[in-house]
Amino acid sequence: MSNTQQQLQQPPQWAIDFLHWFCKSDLVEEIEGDILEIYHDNFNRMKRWRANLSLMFMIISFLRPFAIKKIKTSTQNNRIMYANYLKVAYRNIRNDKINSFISVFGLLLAFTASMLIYRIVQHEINYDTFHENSKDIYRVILNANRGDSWQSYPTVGPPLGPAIKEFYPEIKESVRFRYTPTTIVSTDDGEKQFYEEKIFYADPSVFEVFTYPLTEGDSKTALSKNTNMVITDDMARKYFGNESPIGKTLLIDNEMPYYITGVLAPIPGNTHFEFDFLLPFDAFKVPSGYPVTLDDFGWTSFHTYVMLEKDVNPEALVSLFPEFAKTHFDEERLKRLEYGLQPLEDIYFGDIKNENISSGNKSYILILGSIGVLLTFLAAFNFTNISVAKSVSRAKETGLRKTLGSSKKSLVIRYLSEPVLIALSSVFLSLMLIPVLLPYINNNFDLAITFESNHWIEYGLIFGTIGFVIGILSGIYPAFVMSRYNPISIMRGSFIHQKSGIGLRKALVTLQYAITSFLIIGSFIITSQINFLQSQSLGFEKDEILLIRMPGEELNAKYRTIRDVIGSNARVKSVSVGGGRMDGENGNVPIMAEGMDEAKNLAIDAVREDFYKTIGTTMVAGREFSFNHPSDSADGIIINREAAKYFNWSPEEAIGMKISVGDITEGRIIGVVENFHNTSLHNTINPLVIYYPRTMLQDIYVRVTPGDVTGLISDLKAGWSSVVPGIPFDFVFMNQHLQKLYKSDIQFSKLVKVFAFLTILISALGLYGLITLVSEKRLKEISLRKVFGAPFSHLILALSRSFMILIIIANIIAWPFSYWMAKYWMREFAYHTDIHLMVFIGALLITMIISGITLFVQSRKVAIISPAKILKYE
Amino acid sequence: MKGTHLGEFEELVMLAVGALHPEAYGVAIKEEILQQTQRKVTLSTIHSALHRLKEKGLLDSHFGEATSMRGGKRKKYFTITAFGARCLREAHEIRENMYGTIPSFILEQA
Repeated sequence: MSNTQQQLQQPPQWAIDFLHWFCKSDLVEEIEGDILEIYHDNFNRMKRWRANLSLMFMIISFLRPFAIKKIKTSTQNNRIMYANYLKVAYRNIRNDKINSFISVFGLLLAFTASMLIYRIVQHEINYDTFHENSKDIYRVILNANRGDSWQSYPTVGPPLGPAIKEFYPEIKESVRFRYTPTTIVSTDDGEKQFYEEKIFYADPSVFEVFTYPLTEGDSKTALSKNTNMVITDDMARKYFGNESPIGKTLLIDNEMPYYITGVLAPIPGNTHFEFDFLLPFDAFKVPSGYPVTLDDFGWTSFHTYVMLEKDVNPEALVSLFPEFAKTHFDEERLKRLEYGLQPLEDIYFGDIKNENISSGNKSYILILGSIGVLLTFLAAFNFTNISVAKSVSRAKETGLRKTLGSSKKSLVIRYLSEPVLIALSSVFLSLMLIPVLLPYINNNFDLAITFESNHWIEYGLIFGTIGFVIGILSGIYPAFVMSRYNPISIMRGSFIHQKSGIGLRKALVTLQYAITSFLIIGSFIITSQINFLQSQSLGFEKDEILLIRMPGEELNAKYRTIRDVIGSNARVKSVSVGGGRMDGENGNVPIMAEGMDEAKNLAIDAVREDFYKTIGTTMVAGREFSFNHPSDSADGIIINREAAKYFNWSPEEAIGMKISVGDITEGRIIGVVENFHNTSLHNTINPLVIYYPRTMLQDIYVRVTPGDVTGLISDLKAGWSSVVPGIPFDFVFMNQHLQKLYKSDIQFSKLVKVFAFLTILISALGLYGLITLVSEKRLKEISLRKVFGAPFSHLILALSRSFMILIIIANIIAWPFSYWMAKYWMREFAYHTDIHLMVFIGALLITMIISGITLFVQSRKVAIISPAKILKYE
Repeated sequence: MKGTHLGEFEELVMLAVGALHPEAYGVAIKEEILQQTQRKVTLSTIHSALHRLKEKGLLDSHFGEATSMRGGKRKKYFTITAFGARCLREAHEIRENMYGTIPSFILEQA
């Protein structure tokens, strides 16, 4: 009996634990004893749960001030000490406004810049990762043998998509895209009418493979009928305002009506594949005049993506591809082509370029990222320098605190907490600034960066950590060195004359200026390279060429009339039609020329009469297509000088040679044209074969005389409307158009310039703070020098000499690094400017002049102080 | 005067401690007050008062024996200090004196 009672009488342990947790230790024994006594008494009289309940109430009732533990059980009067630390920190900041400002402002600049850079880099390296299945999506690429080398193309033939899915069970889904040349899109009432460039035909499986959610419509059926159409929400707004576009129609090329069945949710900016309109692939018809069908594997113009089943090894699959190719190509062609897979996430930085697809440059991202890191270092150096220099001048305070019994630990905490607090508040301010700055950044640098709610936490954590580390590092030297010193030597003042922290400071200043010069040199070289590209002769006169685009079919039918109307304008020198806008290759086909054993793939282009006269390129030999020679349109071929060289002919020999251009045409060479750039200067000039087009071209080239542009355009527009009233007058100047080829280069050079400027600013600020602190400590020395008759210039020199030497050393250190970096970057371009010695000298001068001015301003203040003021205390 | 002032409840606790001498501890005091005054007081109120009185120097305390009923925890016995005794006596005298000044017919009404 007593045994069971004993067991039953155990009160709930957690309640007792709770009592022990809050109750003072000197009271807990008597209280617990009394509580248990009552509990056991209760237990015999009541039900168990009631006894327990009453126990709990009893314990809770002891939550009274007399019984609760003191929250802080310290015998020291810490609170006052910490309050004093805060007060002293505040006074320090207030008394030394310049250096406090430099510390905070420098860090703020650096953190803001690094956050922006980090965001840009993050945006760039995450291209296409927003698709849920991005890891399983691959683009089918075609590797073709070009004689001596293999070249990869991002497009394959139209039947491949469905066929390859059928052939391999590993392929879960495939989707084909077909690009449409610039087309007029209009509402059915004809009220709104625009040229659109981003129209694609796509298989309905596009919504299964890629993650393109629809805000309106059902993605399962959106592209199921040939007359359906899916548009982006931007386009919905452009054509229909705020009304729902579902069920409404849009006309393509003024004839085919499409019913809108879906509106896409906004697509993240980092997608390599941009489109505004999606039409069902089955609605695509082979344009008239094309000698191909949709069953032709050789018509390689279709972007095709596949989604693999989970856990399929893509390499193993690719190794099986020849088996598939065999079913569609004969032995002979199989030797010259093979299929491959390119992971979706690699496309953006990949080296398979295509005009409809945006591509990135990994080395730019790398350089930008490094600049971000360097900037942060720079600000951290400033911060450290200033806090080290300041700690020396605050030695007396430390000595006094030690004398009054501050422990070493509390001094260390004190020296560390101040910079950590400053650094963390800079991070916080930068985070606040980012959303404010972002619209300007996007505008000025042509970026599409967003900063969303989930970034706050991420950036807060990352940069908070960086800020914390910077704070600790900059406080660590003063914390440990200063707290170690004997208070007597500090109080006597002998300590001040020790060369404390000078070595560290010298190293940091040198490193800082090396980074600054590095970035200055870098931005000089990048600017000169971009200028070089702009001024580089392209082999044709890019100024005063007007490009007008119109649908090929229309142009083909009315070219003569249009040409006459435009040509009749007094300011128009000549008119022609070209197959592109000098912004990229127009394709490669096997070329067979007289004397060759086998066909080689070469670049081709198509132009009409007077083209080279219009763009301002000379003929080396022979003549170009001319209205005076009607037979030109049947069998005339032109090659460029490079092609003549490739065939081992002199330009004169080339005339009259027989040549065949793939399946397109064959004929005789009537002229050799001087080399010109029909692609960007990232590439060299390749052999080029030019034929007279059977298919329609869509770019009209107009050579005009310089002068009033607005008047000219309105005259031309008037003439244009009289011939083709239904077609918008869509024009651009050649030189403006070509700028686009260097968009990412120009963007990059702008960014580098801005960041180089920031580094100069941060370094100069740092130097200013440093010279302020240093000159204060040398006041006596300067005054003595003055008393002994040193001229003003000597005083300035005495103060700034050591810094100037460091800056020269820093520049010399920076030179080899910048040279190497510049060389690395220049590899991007087939044509590059020389790196002049002047660039390096220039950077040296800039850093010297800016720091010279900084040093002069501050040392002048010191040098003009009356020595009597300083020395009277001695 | 201020230091010796006793609250009504404090006085009750003091009286209980004295009555139970030398075995006045938390639970016993609680029972004593319950029996004498029919007032149900929580244990924590008793402890709080004991603690306060000890701080004022009116009570003294020492640990006594442990029992199994108390989960092996010792009792804390409270005794009245000399100062406490004086305060108690003063409080008592004040009451006696004031009681004596009340006209007897008023007290005899009931």
